[in-house]
Amino acid sequence: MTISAQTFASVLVFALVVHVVLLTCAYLIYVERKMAAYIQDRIGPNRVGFDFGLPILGFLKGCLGLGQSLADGLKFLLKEDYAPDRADKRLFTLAPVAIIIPALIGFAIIPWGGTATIPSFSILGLVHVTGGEVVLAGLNANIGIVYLLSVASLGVYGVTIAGYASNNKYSFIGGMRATAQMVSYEIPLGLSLLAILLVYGTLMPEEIIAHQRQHGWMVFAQPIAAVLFFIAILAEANRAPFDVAEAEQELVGGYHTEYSSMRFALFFLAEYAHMITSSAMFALLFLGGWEPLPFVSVFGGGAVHLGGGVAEVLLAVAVVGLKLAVLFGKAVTLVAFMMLIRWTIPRLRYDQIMMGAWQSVIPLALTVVVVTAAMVQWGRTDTLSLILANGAVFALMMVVMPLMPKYDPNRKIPLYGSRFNPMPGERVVTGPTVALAREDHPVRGSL
Amino acid sequence: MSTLGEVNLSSYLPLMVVVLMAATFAAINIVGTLLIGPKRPGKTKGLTYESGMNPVGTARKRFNVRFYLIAMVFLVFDVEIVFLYPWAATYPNLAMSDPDRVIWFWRILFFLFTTVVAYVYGYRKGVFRFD
Amino acid sequence: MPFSLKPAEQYEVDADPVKYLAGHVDTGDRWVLNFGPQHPATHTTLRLVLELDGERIARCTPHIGYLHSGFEKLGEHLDYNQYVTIVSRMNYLSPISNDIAWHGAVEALFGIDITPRCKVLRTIMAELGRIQDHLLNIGAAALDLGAFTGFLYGFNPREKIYDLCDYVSGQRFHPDWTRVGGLMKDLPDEETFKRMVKSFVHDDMPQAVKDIETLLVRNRIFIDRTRGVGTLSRDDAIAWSISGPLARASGVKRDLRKDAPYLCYADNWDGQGAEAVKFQVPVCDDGDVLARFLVRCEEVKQSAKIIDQLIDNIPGGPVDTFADGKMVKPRKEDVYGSIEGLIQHFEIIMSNRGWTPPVAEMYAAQETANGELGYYIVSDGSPRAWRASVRPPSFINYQVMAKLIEGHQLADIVAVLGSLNVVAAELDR
Repeated sequence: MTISAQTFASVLVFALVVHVVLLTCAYLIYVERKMAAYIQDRIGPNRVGFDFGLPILGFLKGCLGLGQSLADGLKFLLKEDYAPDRADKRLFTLAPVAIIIPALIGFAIIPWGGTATIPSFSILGLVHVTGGEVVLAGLNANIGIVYLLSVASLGVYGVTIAGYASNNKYSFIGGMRATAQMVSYEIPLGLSLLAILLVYGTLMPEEIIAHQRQHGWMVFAQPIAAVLFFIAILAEANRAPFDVAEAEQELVGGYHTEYSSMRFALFFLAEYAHMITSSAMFALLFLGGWEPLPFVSVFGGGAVHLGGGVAEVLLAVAVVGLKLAVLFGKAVTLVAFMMLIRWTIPRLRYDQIMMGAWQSVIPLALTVVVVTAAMVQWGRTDTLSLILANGAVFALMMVVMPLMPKYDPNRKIPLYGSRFNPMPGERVVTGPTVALAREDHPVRGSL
Repeated sequence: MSTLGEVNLSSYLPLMVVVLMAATFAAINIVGTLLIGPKRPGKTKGLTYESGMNPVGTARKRFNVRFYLIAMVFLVFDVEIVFLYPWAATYPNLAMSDPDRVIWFWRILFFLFTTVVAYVYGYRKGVFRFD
Repeated sequence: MPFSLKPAEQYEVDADPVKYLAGHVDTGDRWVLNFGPQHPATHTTLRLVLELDGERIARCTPHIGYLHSGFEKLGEHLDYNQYVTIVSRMNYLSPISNDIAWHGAVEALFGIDITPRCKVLRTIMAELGRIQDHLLNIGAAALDLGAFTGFLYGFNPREKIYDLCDYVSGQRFHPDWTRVGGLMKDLPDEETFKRMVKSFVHDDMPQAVKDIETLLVRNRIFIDRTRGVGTLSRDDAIAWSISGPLARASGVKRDLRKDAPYLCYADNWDGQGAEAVKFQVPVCDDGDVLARFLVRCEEVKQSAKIIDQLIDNIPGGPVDTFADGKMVKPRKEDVYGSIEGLIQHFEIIMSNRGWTPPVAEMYAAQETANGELGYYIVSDGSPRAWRASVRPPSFINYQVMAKLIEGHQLADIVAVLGSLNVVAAELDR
């Protein structure tokens, strides 16, 4: 059996990165709790070590609370897998699967280790690998970045199914909110991506990194697009201040109210995996990928040669590992920034999020796309010109914003049947009009 | 310059592997809790959660989410963005002297303009207001 | 059998559309949703039955009665000193204020004028109680909108107040510190008390309020979420008999400390012409959630000012009134050292003796953190009140909930409910 070098490398990288990401997810929960604790003048988890309650492992007690994630995972595994009687059992089980798969395949397109050449070799004489230049990414397809958008869209399904299948009103409202929000913010995501792809002129991640190596990071050239992209990935990942779908104060647990044990853990894991994926995407598109410095190339553009003597291979692996570490470090820093946001600012309301998307973010993103297209047409795509263009867009925004029609989003809307806020001319009925509102036990037939 | 023309399905092979891996991961976890975890069903426990009260009615009802129009407009925008990607990947690579370049630019601009008209129409109709 | 379950057919989906308001409009799309009693955002066990049109609240029916406490009935079986342990459970956010208000009412019934030292100490503790309540509430204003951090910034200095309660009474949470005609005991050490209060008022509390204000007051999201939400007009506030910070946020300039002064808020409180403590009553005209937040923030600062004026001028002398020996328990040295003291102690403690209050009815109210906390005592001359009714501010303020929220959205419930600062124990007293 003969397989190409790219397939071999892809499977290898995928298998590696999936595990790294899953482990990182588990420890990001720990990091988030620690971070929240320090913001709030607390200490955070600091008790659970790796001693498992055994005296013989007593020296592993404490460990800064690093055993917390392991303990949490085990706890989830040992909990009762509960589903409400009225839930749609099949969809109820499908939802966590539907949400974890897009989360785990999302980062396929990211070239974690740059490019490398590998020589031909065979494994145990059974599988023959043809040599050649490969991209050290989970997937080296010619659709490139578009893959990100398609996978991001898939994430909606898990949430929607979960909200519907639970047959719980809080879940249903949460699912609806999440659907509307994720769908809406997909457009600014796509538009801001378009604005930078116009500058790159390619969809391939490796070429995007090469472009940033030559011209500097895109976050300097297209700051508005970067901000919009970041807002969009926050909203796509259902993170604060866009976490209305799981707003504890309003919807208890939101779409995962009825979930317990490992099925709940999968939702949790998916959220963090989603954050890592989108942050890695941001690092790739705006922060120069695996290049550590903005305007200086450290690793150079050439492919790493994974062949020759043992020392050369080790050196090459070290370089690849460093690249991975740099890209991963950027991603984790961005995730930490997301956490900082979450523990600092309050949550927006559902309608404010939607209005923000449709009335501000999308028009602005569209403007950035048009201006960038004009700059490309003019042939001025260097960083300085783009910064000036961005400044012009910002100034335009500042001029236009006060001119937009204003209305108070917090005003009360008259509704039929309302006691204190009725429709004009409506006969107001005092006292509950539905038996349901009076009774603890719903009466059959009154519904 | 990359093109979108060639289709190379073999490059998606690793993706298939990983989708399988992810599905297996989810399945193992779910089946694992089913096997390991306790099972103590009960009538009250089987109720859907509604703040500790017996649930009133069902959640499978019509619900005013103000979402239908948004979904329609989303389709318009999303399809438009999908059309723009091939353009964004190829158009900047045309030579400055290429006569097609101006045509490509203005065509897309017109295309965007039609969407803006649709957006303004929706805005005036109050599609994007959530009250 | 209130919690028994009905047979399974209850859960079948009934396809018939709801005729909601016959003759008006078919609202088959309306949802009936329970918000509480077991819900993370209701703070305590209260229940709102919502009728939702999408995310809008068409109708809100507040329910009470999930705490099953019966505090008022207990007041008819406990004597005037014992009942203080119960009243402090009514508002557990600032228990000390309830104690002081209760004994204020009892002393008004008995006609006792407490000593200046007792007045000053009670005033300081009452203001600390107000700070305690407001700190939780302005923190919860952040929590209700999803910013957990502000909540804990409010909680840290509250710990210091607990320490103070612990220091003066030996009990952290429910001090039960007041007694008829005085206090449980004098301060253990006045200098330590002063130092603790000063360090709280000058260091911990201003820092916490500053942190919360920095986090929220100029935060665009916070203002967007609170401005214009749950607006209560001035006329409505008066008509619904709203009191406390809610009324003041709606432009009603009413504060019992100014309008019906008691303790150190009254002139000549020490009988030698001492001036009343100086402070301002913050009033806001908007009447929305933001205004209530701002009014509470300002009240905390004013309370600190009051404490500042008093803490260095604590007069000497006894904390208990001994003018009428029939009413106040004697000091321990008198009990063990003199026959009169022993007899007096027996007179009060023994079950067939005890107080002989005038046969009268008395209503006396004090301004606590949530508003006017009044006690209406009917006495038949026995050592226990014939009726110990309470006017809890939360109960009165909670009435207006439905009015504030109808027409707003689901997410606004928590903001409005938090700004009302409803304590369910007061609802089900």
